[in-house]
Amino acid sequence: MRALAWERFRRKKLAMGSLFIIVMFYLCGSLAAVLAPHSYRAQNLDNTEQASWLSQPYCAVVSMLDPTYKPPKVAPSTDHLLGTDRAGRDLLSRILFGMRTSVIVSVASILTGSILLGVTLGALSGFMGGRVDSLIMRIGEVFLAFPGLLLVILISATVRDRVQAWAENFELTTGFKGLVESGFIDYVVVFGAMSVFGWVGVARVIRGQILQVREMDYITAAIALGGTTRRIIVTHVLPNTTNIIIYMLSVGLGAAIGSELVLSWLGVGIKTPTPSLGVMIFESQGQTAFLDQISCRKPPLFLAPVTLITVMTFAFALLGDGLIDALNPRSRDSVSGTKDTAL
Amino acid sequence: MVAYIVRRLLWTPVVLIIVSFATFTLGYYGPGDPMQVLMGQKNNPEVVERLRKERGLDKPFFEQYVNYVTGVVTRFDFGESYKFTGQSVGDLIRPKIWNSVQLNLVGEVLGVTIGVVLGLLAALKQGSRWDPSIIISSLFLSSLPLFILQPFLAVIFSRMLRLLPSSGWEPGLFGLQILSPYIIMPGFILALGPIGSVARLMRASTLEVVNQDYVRTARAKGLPENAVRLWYIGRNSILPIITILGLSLASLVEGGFIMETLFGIPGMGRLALDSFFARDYPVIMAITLIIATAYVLANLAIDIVYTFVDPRIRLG
Repeated sequence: MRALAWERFRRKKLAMGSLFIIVMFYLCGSLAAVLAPHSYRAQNLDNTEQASWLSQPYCAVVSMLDPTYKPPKVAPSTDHLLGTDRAGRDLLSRILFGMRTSVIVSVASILTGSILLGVTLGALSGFMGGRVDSLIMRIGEVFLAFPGLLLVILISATVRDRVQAWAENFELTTGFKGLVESGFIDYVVVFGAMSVFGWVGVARVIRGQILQVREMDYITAAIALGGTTRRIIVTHVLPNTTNIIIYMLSVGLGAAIGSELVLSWLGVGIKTPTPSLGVMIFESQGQTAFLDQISCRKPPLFLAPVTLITVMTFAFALLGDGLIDALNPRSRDSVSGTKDTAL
Repeated sequence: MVAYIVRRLLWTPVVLIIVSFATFTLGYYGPGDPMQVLMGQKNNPEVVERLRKERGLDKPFFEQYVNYVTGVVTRFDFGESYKFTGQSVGDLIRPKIWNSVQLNLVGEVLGVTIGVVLGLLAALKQGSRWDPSIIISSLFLSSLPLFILQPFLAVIFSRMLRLLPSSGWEPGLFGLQILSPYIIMPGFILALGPIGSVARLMRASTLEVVNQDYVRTARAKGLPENAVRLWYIGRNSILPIITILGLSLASLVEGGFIMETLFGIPGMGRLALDSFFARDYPVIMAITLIIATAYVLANLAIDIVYTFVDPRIRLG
């Protein structure tokens, strides 16, 4: 069943391409420490706003079209492939480490929130039914009723000091240094807050699936034929739910990356100097900045992270779309025999 | 079924109490004293203490909470804002909710209308080049982040073409902002999200409907193709969109703070954010309660509609 879906998925070129891009993002993010040519916080005030070496072909074209073109102050060099920011920090390294932050936060929050909490609670709810079901669903409703992002902000602001105090105490008593410095606190606060609110969607979907499947005739048949509960769950119920889980996980990862970006942009997520794409966007935004960078007068401090996040959001959207088509057993190419498009 | 609805409705005040209690606790035990924030860095501790006493902030936790709840339930009195001293929370929120509702309405209506049309088109032209192009471009437009959409549109439509205002929020015809040019850019940007998701949903739904027998019957009866498309295919495909609209109804009272900050719109998003940073707890409580109520009611509506859509699901 999964193999068939994978075959269908592989034929969709756009979805495969998006998957490739996403995998590359996560790979580069995880290996940021190895790939980045410089440290993300090494400042060099003699070399601020150096032009981007990689943009040279684009800038050459722009300089031909624009009569008022003035090149940036410092000429590009292969030392800093994307140039430097206002404090002389290497842009490429900051982007790579920002990707790492997104990777860490999204994976952590999806693992704890969606998988650990969401699937477990949803499955519990669906199978047990009755009062357990009502309790879990009503708690979930309370969580859903909170205006999500706003409360993540409130929690981040409220809890952060306590986590910080705990971490400093921990360092003192165990002599384990570097915990606070690494920005560990920021990560914990952000993904903790996001998990607390992220589990409800997955739980509800899992529960819905289980409720639907429970009433199906083939389950009744399996019970009538003497199947044990465990076998029914494993053979009949779970395979139907894993498709939806895969879809929700992929969408969830994309959403988590976006949420981390917004939180850091607001200043309540990852804080400087810990790198984050949101922080980079905040530091470099504005209409003049946009114009300056499009016309190659400044290095792409704003354009680089924004392009990255646009590409990633788009990739996740295409991936989700491809997944829906591939995992849906009633999709039109298998039933009605119409042409399978690239989407 | 009726018993189920009644039970859910009875649960609503419980949910609201839990939500308000949790928010109140976070506020009470959270860092930062609202009066200190109000007075600034070099605050005089005596003045801060006097201000706290004036507002009853030195009373024990439960007394404060009970006072608050009684006020809300009996007099609809959500208290007075800490930040904007003296102003009642109700007066503060009312114009902002109105602004957010107008903006969200424009975004939703525009988004859903365009999305439905695009989704229908994409499904009917399935197999040709139009189908994937429509879906891909609507997905792409909805993935563009605000940080790039706003400067991009502002540069083109405000600086170069001088057609639209790039920020600001003033009343237009009949004193309504919804009929003024200020709403065009943010409204359009807001519509891009729903366009993407509604188009996809509509397309999937239409594709399932198109193969149904009743469509064949309609064609066999000799109905003109356009009538078939509009009445039989279109009407039946819209069903899942309607359930989505239910949730959007609840989100009308919310606001995106990034959008409101970039466009200078005084709406719920900015109010919420400013209140959080100013530790203005009466306002925070009121906003949370309003949004929570909207979502709980919308959830109930959706669950009920679902039983009509898929009769196999049993509630309760």
